[in-house]
Amino acid sequence: MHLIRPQLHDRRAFLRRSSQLAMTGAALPIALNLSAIGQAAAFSATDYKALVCVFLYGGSDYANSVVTYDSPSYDLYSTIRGGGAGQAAGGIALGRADLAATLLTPGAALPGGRQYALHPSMTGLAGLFNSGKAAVLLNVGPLVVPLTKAQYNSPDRKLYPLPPKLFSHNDQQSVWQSSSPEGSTVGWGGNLGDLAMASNGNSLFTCISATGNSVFLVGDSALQYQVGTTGAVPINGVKAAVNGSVAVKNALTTLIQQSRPHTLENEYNRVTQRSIAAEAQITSALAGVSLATVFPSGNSLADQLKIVARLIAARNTLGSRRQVFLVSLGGFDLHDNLIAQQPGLLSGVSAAMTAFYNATLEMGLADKVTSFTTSDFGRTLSSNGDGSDHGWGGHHLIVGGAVKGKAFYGTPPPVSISDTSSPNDQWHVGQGRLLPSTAVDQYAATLARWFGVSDTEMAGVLPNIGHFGAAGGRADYPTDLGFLA
Amino acid sequence: MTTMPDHALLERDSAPSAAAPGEGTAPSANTPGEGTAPSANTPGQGTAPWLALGALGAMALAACADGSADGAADGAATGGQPSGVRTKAAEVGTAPVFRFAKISNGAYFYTGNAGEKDLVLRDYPDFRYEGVAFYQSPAQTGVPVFRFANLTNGGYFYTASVTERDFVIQSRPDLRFEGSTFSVAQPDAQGVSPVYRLANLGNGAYLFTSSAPERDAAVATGLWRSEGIAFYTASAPPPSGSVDTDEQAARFLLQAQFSASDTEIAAVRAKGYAGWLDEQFNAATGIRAWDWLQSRGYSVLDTHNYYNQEYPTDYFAWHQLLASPDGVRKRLALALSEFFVVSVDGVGTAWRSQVMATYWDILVANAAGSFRKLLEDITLCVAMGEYLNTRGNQRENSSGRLPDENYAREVMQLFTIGLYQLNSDGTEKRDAAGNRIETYTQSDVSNLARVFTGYDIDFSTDTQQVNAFDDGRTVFTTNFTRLPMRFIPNRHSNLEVRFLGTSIAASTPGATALKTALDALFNHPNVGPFFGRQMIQRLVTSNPSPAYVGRVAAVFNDNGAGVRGDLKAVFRAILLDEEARSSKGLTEPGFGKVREPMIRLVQWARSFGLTSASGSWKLGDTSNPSTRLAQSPLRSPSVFNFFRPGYVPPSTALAVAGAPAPEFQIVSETTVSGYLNWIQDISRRGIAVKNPAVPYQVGGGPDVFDMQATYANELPIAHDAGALVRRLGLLLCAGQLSSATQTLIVDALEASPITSTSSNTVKLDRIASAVLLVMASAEYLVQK
Repeated sequence: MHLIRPQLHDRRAFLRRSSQLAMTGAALPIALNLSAIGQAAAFSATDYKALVCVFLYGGSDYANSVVTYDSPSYDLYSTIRGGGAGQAAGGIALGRADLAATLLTPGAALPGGRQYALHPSMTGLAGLFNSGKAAVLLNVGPLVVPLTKAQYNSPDRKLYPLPPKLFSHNDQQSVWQSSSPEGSTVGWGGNLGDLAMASNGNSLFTCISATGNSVFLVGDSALQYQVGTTGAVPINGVKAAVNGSVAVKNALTTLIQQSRPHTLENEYNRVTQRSIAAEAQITSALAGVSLATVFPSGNSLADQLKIVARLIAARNTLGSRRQVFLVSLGGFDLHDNLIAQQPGLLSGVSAAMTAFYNATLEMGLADKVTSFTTSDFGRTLSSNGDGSDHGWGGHHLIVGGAVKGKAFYGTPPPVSISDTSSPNDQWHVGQGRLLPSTAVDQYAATLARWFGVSDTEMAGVLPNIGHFGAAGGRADYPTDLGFLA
Repeated sequence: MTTMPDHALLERDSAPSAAAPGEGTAPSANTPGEGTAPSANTPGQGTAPWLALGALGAMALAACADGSADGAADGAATGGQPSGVRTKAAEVGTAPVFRFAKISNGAYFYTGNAGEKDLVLRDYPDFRYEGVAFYQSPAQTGVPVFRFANLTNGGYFYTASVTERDFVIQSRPDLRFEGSTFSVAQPDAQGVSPVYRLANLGNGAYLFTSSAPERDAAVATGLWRSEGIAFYTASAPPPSGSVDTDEQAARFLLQAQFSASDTEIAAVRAKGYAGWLDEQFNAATGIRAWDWLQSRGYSVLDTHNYYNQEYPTDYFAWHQLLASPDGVRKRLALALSEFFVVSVDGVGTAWRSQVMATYWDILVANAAGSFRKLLEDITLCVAMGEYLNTRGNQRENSSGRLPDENYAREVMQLFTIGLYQLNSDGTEKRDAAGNRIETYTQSDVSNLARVFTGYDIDFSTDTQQVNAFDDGRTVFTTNFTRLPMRFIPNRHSNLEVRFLGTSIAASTPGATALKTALDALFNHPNVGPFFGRQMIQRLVTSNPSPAYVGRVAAVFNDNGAGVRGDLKAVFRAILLDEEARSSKGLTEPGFGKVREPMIRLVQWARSFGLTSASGSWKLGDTSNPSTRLAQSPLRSPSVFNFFRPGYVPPSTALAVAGAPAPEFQIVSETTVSGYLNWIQDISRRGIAVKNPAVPYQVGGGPDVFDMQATYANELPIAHDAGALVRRLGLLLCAGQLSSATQTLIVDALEASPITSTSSNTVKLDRIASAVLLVMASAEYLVQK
């Protein structure tokens, strides 16, 4: 029976993973501790690697981000989205001619003559793709098990379980990040951190968010550390006299870090303790960093990626060897004004990710840092007049020197919104909501393997991975998609 | 006076089981603890023919034939109570007497002992809890009621007559005397009402009710005989007792509104929680946000292009929160703005601040009104139309265009019913396999979306103005921002709508379809617990007990007068609930919630007399997590609010317990620092503004501290660090600072000694330091 297994994402799971490690023959101390596990596992490497998750909040419209370009497919797209005559823009369809400059030219052509271009505003990322530093993963989304459309429509949810709460923003964000809907407390980025934290001088700097709190970066033991876009924020009142009084400064320093019998009070003060301890290290380490790469201004994603780049530049001072970062950009829930809003959003993504890649080049770390996009869900291919509605699968980008770029991974979905038994209608579940042909778990497992996770550790990071790949009897849904060297 | 064993019922355990007919009697639909009002039950329902207790019936009737008032008077006389010193003020009960019905045979049990009530609820499934029957009077001044257990039918007999008591003891071995139980009112006390006694003609059970209609209904069944007045009950006490201390009053004020002043603390103590709250619901409201924008010149088309600016939204929002007289209504409106979320970021129309002002004014106007009306007003307001895309939403067409589903989905997921079917106490229902049960499917969303087609902004009363200041664009005048969206029939989907078991026929007029759809959502059983729980979380505690949610949901479902969705009753129930008021919450390690950062700011400002010297209130967006509050009114980052009601802070003791703490979603290493730095700054210097004399935003120029706390009531005691800290502890956290923390703060302040004649500069240094330390303490940050 197939079940979502969020229970793997808890402390018992940690113990289970530990026993999995034990079965591999790694020597474990009697008193189990994470650093021992980390060192016993694949993370004893002395090199540096980082994964950077770029979350596009709101559900990015796949059809206008990675746009179908070959003439027959484009015409289908244009008809569905209300394009103009002669392949001109119209409705929520982009004009074909406008896509020529961002046409993606893979080393090996896609079957059936399929072609794609990025949104015209994404020139930087199109350039990285065509120069082999970026790849596109087609039609990826949450799956518990591989599904056909008939299985999706089957009432047998035991045999063909669906991801919980499809089409709901907050839940699908959580599912992408943790395999479970809202309320989940452990994500796969954090699980990577659990394995990686012992490799780092300060384990707190393993999982770093440059955006708000989210479940992605929380592990069984790994904490999510949040940093501002200008670095760690010092608390002035613990640095210098308050209103002229050193006694007040000292009292404040005590008060905001003391342990408390009340649970909420204690947890609040624990965050403050971490803030104070980490700030001293981060500020000092960043002081020695100088990066020449120019990040675009007025671009909140670029601001976040810039601090990520600076933290990576400070890796030696901070003693970091394996890090997972989260950055994000909101505003993608374009039920309306899709055509008007996408250029600003997507050019921002493209410019920020391109600058970030350039910064890793500058640091000589391009093949050690991989960034990748994620989003709540793809959207409908059909139009609601001025935008598109919540969907499921979507197309995503992976960028970095280790990426086997200039290539598409996954399967191009047919361009269709009709509901017949034709093979062309089997990869959407209505209105062009894509039925994913690649699972988030496969996407994540490929990234995790590059990061250093072994096969035996993989189930602890991705609880449902056993439903995919040859080991799960589904070699057609491989657990290594091959986009990373 | 006989002392009752606490758990008398337990001791006579064998009696009910020996007497219980029991076999196969299914519990009724009313499960214990649902608090069914006694009058809603038909006495004797389910009564089986049983041993006729003719002797007792006849005796009891005889003893009470001239009215049990005699019996009560008799009890008072022979009980040796100091009857001569009774007050003549209207007598108010001290505590409820609870009623249980024995499911298997319809006998009744009453207890005034809350512990015994809980015990019966827990251990005696055959007894169905039926709520409060009447009220106890103080033992010192009231009339004791004696209890007998019927060893034959497992029921109980009560009498306030000493004569009758003695008669029963002598003549009825089948009735075991259990001593005196609760006390009831003296018959001649002011404001008391009768409790009637009825005997069951079939099984000898006794029913005591203060409801004449229930008595009459029982008699009309032919199964019950009225036996007159048994005794008298005092009127219902205020739900949570009296307000005994300033700390209790402050605690209540800080849940019901933003701040607690000396006069408000005194008023709550004088009027009681309920009395004060009811007064606030009727208090005059200050200037409305839309009118304020107009009065400040923001509705004029000029070189500042206000029509295209977001910052007037920040200014009106802060003005409303910091300066308006009706703190309760504004506090509730702010809580509602975190449920029916609209953010100015997502409103793209011209005059977006006026549009946001109307949205806010709707929340304020309906905060103590009707949920159903609020739901409709919010659905049709331009702000929501812009935010969730009902504005301009069109029917399906032949080229494959389909209605926008955004509002249809979120109105269900977020504004009414939520994702999963709920029990009446807010816990999730489970199917036979133990899985949660979803409330709606994608098909429900797609169908409901049709209802919200055909709406657009109503410009019919506006004229176009040419904006000479901005490329000659034309801009409508501002009337439309106050109007609901208009309905355009030919844009409306005429397809049939089927959702959540409701169907709306094809071609139903738009207004009718909307009414049917909103009624269906409003009447869904999830709304009470779904909405009620989140309002409890905003106002009182992150983890309310299911029983608390259940009590609030019950009031949502019926305010006591048969009205559903009466928000005044709902908020009253939330704030007056035992769980909110009980001192238990002060010691339970999981009770309470993190104070929202924006509420901390409002509390500080209102507590210490902050005003805008210029009257411009130019406090902008405070969302910056590194330098401000990580939160700003009417600026949620998405429709999912600043934090989710189910957010469990990972890697904490709360995660181990699975306990949500929503506000923790915006607590991070960055935000804790940003908050402390800003509070340190503004508590001493005030809030800096560029050129406060003008309403528009100015980029450069010197900082002017236009909004400062006066600390008028703190300056006179600044030299007395102990008094100062006690005062701040009361106003800011209802006296919840531990003595260790108070000592820590006082010692730090006294390190810089000052006297009553020290300069104000020195005194303000000390006051600001004290404010910072209190507002930095975890005991303040977690509101209990």
